[in-house]
Amino acid sequence: MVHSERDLNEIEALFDRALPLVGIDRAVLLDGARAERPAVVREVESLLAAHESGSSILDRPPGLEGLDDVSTPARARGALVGEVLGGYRILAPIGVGGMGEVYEALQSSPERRVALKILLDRGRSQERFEVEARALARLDHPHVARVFGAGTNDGPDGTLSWMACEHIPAARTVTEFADERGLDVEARVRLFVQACRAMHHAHRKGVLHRDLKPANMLVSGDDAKEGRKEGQREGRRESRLKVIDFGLARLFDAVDAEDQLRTRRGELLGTLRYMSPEQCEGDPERLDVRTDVYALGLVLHELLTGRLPYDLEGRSLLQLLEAIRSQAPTDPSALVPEVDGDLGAIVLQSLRKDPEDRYDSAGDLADDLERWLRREPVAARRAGWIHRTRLFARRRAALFAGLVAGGLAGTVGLVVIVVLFLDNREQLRVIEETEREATEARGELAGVAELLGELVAEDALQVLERAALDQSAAETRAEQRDAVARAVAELRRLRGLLGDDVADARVLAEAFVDVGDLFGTEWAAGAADSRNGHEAYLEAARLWRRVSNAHPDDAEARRSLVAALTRLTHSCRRLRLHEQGSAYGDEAVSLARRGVEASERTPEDVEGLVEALFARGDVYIDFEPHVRGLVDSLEARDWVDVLRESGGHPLTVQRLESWVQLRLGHWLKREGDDPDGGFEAHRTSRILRTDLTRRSLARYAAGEPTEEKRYRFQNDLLQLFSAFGWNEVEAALDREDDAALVECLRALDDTYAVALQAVEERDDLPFATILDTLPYATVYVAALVDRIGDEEEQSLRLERIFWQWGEAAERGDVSIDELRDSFLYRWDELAPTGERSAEVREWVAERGWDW
Amino acid sequence: MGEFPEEPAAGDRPPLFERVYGELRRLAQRRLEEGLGGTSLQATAVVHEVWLKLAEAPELEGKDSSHYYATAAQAMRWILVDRARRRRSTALASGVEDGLAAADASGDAEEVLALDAALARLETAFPRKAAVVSHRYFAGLSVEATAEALGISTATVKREWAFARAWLLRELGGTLPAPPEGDAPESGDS
Repeated sequence: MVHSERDLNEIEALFDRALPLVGIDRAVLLDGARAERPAVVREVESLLAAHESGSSILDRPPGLEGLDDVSTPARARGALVGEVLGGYRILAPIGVGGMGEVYEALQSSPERRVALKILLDRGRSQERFEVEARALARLDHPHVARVFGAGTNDGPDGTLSWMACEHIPAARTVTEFADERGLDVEARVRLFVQACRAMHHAHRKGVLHRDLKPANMLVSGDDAKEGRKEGQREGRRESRLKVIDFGLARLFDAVDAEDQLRTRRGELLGTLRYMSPEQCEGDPERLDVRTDVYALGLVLHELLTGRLPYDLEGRSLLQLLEAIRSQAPTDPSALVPEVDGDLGAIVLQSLRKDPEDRYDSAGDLADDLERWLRREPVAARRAGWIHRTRLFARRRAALFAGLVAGGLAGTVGLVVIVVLFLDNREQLRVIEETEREATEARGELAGVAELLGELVAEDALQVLERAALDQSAAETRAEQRDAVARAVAELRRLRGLLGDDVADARVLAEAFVDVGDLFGTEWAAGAADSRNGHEAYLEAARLWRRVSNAHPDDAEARRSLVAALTRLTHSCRRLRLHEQGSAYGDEAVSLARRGVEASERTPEDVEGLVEALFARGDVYIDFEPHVRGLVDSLEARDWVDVLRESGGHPLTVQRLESWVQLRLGHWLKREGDDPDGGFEAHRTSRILRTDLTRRSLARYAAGEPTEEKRYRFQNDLLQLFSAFGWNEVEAALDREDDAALVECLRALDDTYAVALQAVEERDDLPFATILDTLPYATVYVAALVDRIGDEEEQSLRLERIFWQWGEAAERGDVSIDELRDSFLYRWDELAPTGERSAEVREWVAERGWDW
Repeated sequence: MGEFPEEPAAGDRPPLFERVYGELRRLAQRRLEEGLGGTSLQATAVVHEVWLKLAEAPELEGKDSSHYYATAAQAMRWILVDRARRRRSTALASGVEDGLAAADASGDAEEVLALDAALARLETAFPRKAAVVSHRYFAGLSVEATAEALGISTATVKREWAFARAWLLRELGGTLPAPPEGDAPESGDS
């Protein structure tokens, strides 16, 4: 039907009005319009009917599946049926995964049916495929699916890799089979022992499965029928279960179809559900046969209870890793009445978090299960068993040390490969080859890694957010430290999952820096505060180095690396790691020099170099030769001049200038022949800094008060007192210049008074903002009141400080102990000068504080 | 039934379209080859990912994301229609052999082609409503992002979407299978 412009407008308007109405209201509206505009109403009615008609193509996002077979139409699913590949005639598809396909095929000589796994290569390593196939062909056990042969063929659409395996007719997964047949607990255990024996055999041949799950333990439906027909003879049952896909499942089908999960993310998390705690730690070195023992325990748990031992539904990646690492598995005997305590204990024994505490081998697990079947006492329940296992395991440490995991650090548990026991040269060669192949496999799994990377990046941001929240909610330094330590540990765990993707590394590196910066970044921060930050910076520098290596021309990555190295240099100084600090400092400075020498130098590059020079120079505060610190500071001063002249931000220039002066003062005092002992430089730096601090307070007061601006002010104030003021005070004392000292102390206390007033006046500026400065302010006032005659001024300044302490003590949310320790420490430092006000001493004594 | 708009010849297309179209196709292909999905690779996810990649591209310099998403929606539409056409012909050709899968593929393809044709008609009558559909459906933008990209209010986007959806559904009515049981219809203005 063709409508006029006017019709269209009316249709639209009427539809909009009618849509929110229901029932009689809508009918009234439409009927009212019908007489005059019947065609319009008819149109609107049909639209309303369509609106309510149900879901449509429009209600789900468009999918892109099949774009693939557009480009290679010949490779439609099942396209290989009828073809002959490596002497196998392909009969019918069995299953199709994302990466490969499995067909039922017929071998002519000897005549038998096989399961032919086919991987359409897209630049994959053929060699690796063959190495694995060779290792797998060595397995010969009634409960391991045999590998008959493998090879590669060139086809019209690329190279096909194929592997012919034992065909299991009417295959069911072990859990499906048990449920279908309604097997009782004993029959389930009997079936499962076969899997353990199969695994034990493989382990003795040096092959780890690493991807054990119900889908890889198949039972033939036909075979079972046969077995029943022939009576209940035990012997028949023995041939039922087959473990398949050693080291292959991930390659052929990165996603497990049985998981029935909807989204890519869900699918990936699904495959991660079967990871062991050591895999969650991201440490491939720790994977050994006991990783498979753990997986066997998982399957046994599922076989007995129908569920996994942890509640992993709807967890984020990090929560999932954490649950596997730390959540206690459910005891099957508590879930299913038919499972007794002994059997439950066996399952739990296999699921211990520490591999040392598990069964040493799949064979041991099988033995214990058979003891249970014979109603004998099981090892898992024996007193002191864990202890004895530990001792035993230690005796065998040498053996375990000989196990080399060929897996990948980057993509934990997602890569599967053969692990071999080492005992001769031939095998050594194979190991080397395997490791090389593993490296190649890393690229192969880039897709999986990339998805993981996305998840990691997302989680990293969450960790960061939470850490920032925890940190700001924390009341004591110790709690703050804990928050940071937790975040670092979590991020590190995420790093274990990270592949080679540069973008992800970038996100994670930024998260590490941010976490490090949460705490202990103050120039004068102590060692305890710096340790966690140091760890975070180490990781950040490592990641940035990787990004930077991958993108040598990326100026942003280089700047970030410089910044991370600079932070690292500072934290080394605080932790008294002089050699390391100087090495990181050298690296930071030389990288930063590349930045300022580059043709497209920016103010940030100059700033980066100045900061790097600061950090490296600072290492020599406690480290010979001190003069190197002076050299770096002098160079930094020149670069600050460059920055000022080349359009650096005035506040940045002033900030850097204040630091330059502080450092020059320090070095002149120690190294130079300056008659002033650096006093003038310290004085200049303190004045610059006072100005900056007042500006940052003004910035906070003007406009929207943000957390970032508040922190900036808090930090500026603290630094003014802890570093700038302190140095000037010391220099003045050295010169025995009382007038200068009084002037400095007065200026500092006046600034503190301004800050205090701001805190009192502004509801949005918490009291805590100025508290970490209080210990310094107290010491300064104590030093000041001894030197001024005016009693009114004395009591004004003293009372202000005492009142502050009283306020702090009254508030339950402030740790007076930490403030007191900080105060007493500073007090002690200044004490040798003999400057202790009697009144302050008395005040301290009243509180029973001990210096 | 209606005819689909012809894909412009390569030379006529603006460079941005060229670039976006290429990136979308490449990324989709790669994702599919990785085979992670198996079940579903959402076009909209690909659109967003490509944006992350192209944000810095010279073709987009000085332009904001709304420009990209308008182009990407168009490009994604071509990709889907193109695939559907090919699928239909493959399905017709392979016929009986792979019965079920072929029927699935062709059914899916018909749906996309019908939608494309209906959308072309909607464009004539209600260009802005068609743009809302294009942004929301093909580029996968949220209501808010669509509003921002088109410079209209979110309330308008919701209203336009409800209307356009009903309109398209009615147009597609004859060609669609009955909705599955228990699948609650979207209220449209939620």
